[in-house]
Amino acid sequence: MLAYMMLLSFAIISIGLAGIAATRHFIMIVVSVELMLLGSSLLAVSIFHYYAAGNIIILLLSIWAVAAIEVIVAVVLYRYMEKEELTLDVRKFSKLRD
Amino acid sequence: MLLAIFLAVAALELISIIIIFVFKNVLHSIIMLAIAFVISSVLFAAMQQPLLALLQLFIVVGTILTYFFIGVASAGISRFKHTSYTLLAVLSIIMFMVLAYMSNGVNFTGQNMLTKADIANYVSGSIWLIYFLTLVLFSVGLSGIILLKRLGER
Repeated sequence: MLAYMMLLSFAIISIGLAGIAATRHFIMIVVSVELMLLGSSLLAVSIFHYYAAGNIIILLLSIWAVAAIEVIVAVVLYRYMEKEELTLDVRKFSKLRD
Repeated sequence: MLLAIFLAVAALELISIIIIFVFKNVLHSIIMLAIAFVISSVLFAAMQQPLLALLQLFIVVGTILTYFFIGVASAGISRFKHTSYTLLAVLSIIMFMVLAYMSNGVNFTGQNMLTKADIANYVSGSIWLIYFLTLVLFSVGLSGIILLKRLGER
């Protein structure tokens, strides 16, 4: 059963990783990172469930804290892009050099 | 029976995650992300971790609401074809194979070969290698960014 859980987590992490590379929508890139964090938390919980090694709460809280910080960063970046009248297409991010 | 239920839930999770990239409207993608989070909390509950499942649901509420705000605010400028499906499929399959191979304890018959002693010996024994690989990856990424910036300036 652990093998299946690990494979599911790996699949979710892989889709998240590939999503970062394959999409050029700003929000979808952030969503892809969320997917990677979801897969990693699922992997951590499954390994903890089968081996009960250590305290899982601290690890999960840190993963969730990263996810929450990422949402805040997304909001801040979105506000900046809206102010600078940029689109959500990351190919046009080269304007940031100015 | 338990395995069949797990496989059904896992299939639902994967389908909802793949559909995230199919929708052109970001709001629909965010709804599918919420469904994926809820299904993962069901998996937490199935692993006898009801507190973690509840916390996951709380985080879903905060995260998804924020994404909804961004999605609604950017409704006018965010509808374009944003994902290359072929690239997504190929990259995700390659990365899945790499991760499954690197885990070294999982085979595709479902038999668990990763024991507690393996985790203690293998992972802690090669921790310096993990730090070294992280350093190498960071250096390569940083130098690549600097190189691309120099090339872009020309």
